[in-house]
Amino acid sequence: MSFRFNKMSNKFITKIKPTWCLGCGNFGIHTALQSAFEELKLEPWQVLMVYGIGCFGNGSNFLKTNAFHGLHGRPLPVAMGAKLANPSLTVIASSGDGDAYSEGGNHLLEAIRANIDITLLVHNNGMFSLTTGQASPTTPIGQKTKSTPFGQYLNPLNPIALALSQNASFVARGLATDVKHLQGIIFKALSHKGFSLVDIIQPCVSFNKEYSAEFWAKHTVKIEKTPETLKEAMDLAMESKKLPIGLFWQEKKPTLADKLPDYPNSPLWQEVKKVNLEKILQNYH
Amino acid sequence: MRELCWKIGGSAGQGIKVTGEILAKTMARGGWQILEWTEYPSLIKGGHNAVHLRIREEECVATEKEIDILVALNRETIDLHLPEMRHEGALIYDEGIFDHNLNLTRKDIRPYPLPIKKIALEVAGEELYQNTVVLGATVSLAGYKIEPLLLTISDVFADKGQEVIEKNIKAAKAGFEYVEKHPLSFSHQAPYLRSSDHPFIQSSDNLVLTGNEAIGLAALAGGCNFYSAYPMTPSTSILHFLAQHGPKNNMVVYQGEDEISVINSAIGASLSGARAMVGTSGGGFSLMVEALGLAGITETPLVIVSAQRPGPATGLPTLTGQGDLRFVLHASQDEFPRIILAPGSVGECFDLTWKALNLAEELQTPVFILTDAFISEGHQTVEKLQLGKVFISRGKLLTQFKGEIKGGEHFPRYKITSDGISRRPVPGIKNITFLANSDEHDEEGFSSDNAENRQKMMEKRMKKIHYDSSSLPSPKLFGHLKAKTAVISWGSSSGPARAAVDYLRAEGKSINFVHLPCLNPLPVSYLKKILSWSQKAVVVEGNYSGQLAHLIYEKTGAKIDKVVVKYDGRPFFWREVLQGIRDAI
Repeated sequence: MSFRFNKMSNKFITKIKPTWCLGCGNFGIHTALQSAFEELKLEPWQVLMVYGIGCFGNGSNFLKTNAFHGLHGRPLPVAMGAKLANPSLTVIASSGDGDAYSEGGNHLLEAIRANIDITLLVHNNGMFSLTTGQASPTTPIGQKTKSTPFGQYLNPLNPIALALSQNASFVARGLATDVKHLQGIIFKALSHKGFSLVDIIQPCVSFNKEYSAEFWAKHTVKIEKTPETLKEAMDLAMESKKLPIGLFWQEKKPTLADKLPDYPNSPLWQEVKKVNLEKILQNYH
Repeated sequence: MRELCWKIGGSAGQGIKVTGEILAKTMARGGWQILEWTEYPSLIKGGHNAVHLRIREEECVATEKEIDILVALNRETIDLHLPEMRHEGALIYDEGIFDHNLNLTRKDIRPYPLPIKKIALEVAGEELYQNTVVLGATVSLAGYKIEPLLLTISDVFADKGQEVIEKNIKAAKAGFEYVEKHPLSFSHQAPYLRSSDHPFIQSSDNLVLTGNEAIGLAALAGGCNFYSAYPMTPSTSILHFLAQHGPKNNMVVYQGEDEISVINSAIGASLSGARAMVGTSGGGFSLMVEALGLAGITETPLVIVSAQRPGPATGLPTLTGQGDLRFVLHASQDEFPRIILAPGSVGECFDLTWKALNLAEELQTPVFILTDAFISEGHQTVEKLQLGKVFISRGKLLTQFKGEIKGGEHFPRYKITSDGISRRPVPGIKNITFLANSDEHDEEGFSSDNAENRQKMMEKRMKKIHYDSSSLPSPKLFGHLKAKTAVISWGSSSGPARAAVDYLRAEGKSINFVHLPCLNPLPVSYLKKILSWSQKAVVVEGNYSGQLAHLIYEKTGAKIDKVVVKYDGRPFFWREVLQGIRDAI
């Protein structure tokens, strides 16, 4: 997919060469992301990417934006704090299936409840690949991995249904190998006011050969029309024959910034001032 | 010197805590100094509650065990606290509630039957006003006047309407008058707070604050504008205070879904240029530990208030202790610089909090405020907050940039400098980007496992703090620098330790006391000096093993002769420390 880089400006690329495996889905995701930035006329300094830990996390070295490379499972709370402290930034949490759905599950629920205006990109390859191939929350039942040599025995998590069940305001799924389609989804997610979950199915060429780019090309189907009711969206999310990709649900709802009492709505670095305590102190005499 | 030690006990839900607060405020308005400590179980109704209040003419830094007036709203109070009473102390109880035969195990106590419930019903029509009857009676029994109490009642119940205020005033007056008509004669010392010659200052500057309130106030004064927390005793009332007063003052206050989220969101806010602080207790801090290291290696400023309670695990949720010093000192894998400040009084909670906010930003590293339940939740008089001294320093924060960064490169967030501190841009400055990285990184933030780079980056970070730094809060010495016995303490144990040393100095003993407001890095040279001049060294602290004592030995090589420790969940009474020191010298 590297040919796509040539079509774009290189302002979102650092001097560090990507270390991902040849054919890794992360290339497609980064290409789609950069195209979405260009389409939205965003400059690198206007964006803050917050990365968790996983192969995707090394992307912090390759993609040129403001960036924070934190802990496994924790990109969401860092991104939430950063966005609250500067609402003018475009804040994106970059995560994986282990990162977002296993270690950081609690934070996903909170981000949905808060409806904070950030985007979560989940690089979902059904596997812990940076640690060389253990079962993740999205590994299908029966699949053999290094940590489940006799087959995965836990039910796979359905992130789309989970998000819908909690009234998430933007829920979508993309395919890392369909860059153009993914770019469209990311564009919509970044344009959405509120929390947007983009689950991205990606092949892992080194540790998950069973579920290859070819497999996913055959086993996914594009959503033609975004469902109009939550029930329709949920039915689509439960579809198991072919995995639907596209926008499941989008709804206009108040964001965390709208809901917090007296939220300043300006960068907090401008607001660091001594507060006059006189009035408050009257209560303590 | 005039002083009074008063205690009220009853079951949870009987309004014991508010009653104690009203008396504390009343006395503070009159220009007295107070120290309050409430024992309560981790329950909402039932269980035993007791407020212990010491009132003094002069500075009140420690609790006194011997109770002058005990108010028993139930039988349990008598059974539990009778042994703590002073010889000939007064026991107020409701004769209508208890059996006439009190069966007191001590014959030297002066029982004072007061028809509490009957008076409340008579003058206010509701049992609810019992506690106010008690307050009126207490003030009279102590030899004090009623006017300050009535004023305090009017203010405290201002939100509840005129009827509530009037009923409370009637109840207070009735309690006061009952005691005037039925005086109790004391053979010595009492009346404790005889007021005829004590000036009543209506507009006294005295504030009555808990440590948590002082921390909240200092956070506002010090420009903190992001506070996140998850409820955990004894830190929770910081969240209550800031949730109430923060938003109106441009502070974002967020209750996260767990302590992991709390600290990570504060790191995110700090990354964006907010002044961030979190609050928790040992259990919650356990969950924060991984991200503590994250703040360390990414060099993100952060203030962490950790209010200690006895552990491990759930431990004694509502009681006090100082068992977490070693924990906050060493928490996280590998090494990075951190500062640990430990206030010894409510007033010092204020001073150290705004200083902590400055230190975190100047040094771009985590700074702890280590308190404990006694200081976090107990009330003390603070004569005047040092508001004028508060200033805001943001260190090397960068909010605009005129230079140029080449394509493909980042701003050198981790540039090696002589003091180890690099310029810290906020995200969103036109034409520059930076990478803050939890992987070991080079000057531009890019991940690097190069050996030489790793060594340089470790040295850069570790260089940010050093022993005997003049920018850190300095030790406080009471007494002469050169004394035969040196007593050292920290946190809430410093008050009782100081009271004991003051007493011994008044006896003519050659002894001094050092309070350490900064526990990491320690003032090593200073401690070496003090300890080389003394013949005996005593450390006083609220844990089992003597954590500070061992730390001092580790850092100075000076042996501590005696460690006075307490680990029963209660604060030191100053006489316990006195006994401990006497045993050592």
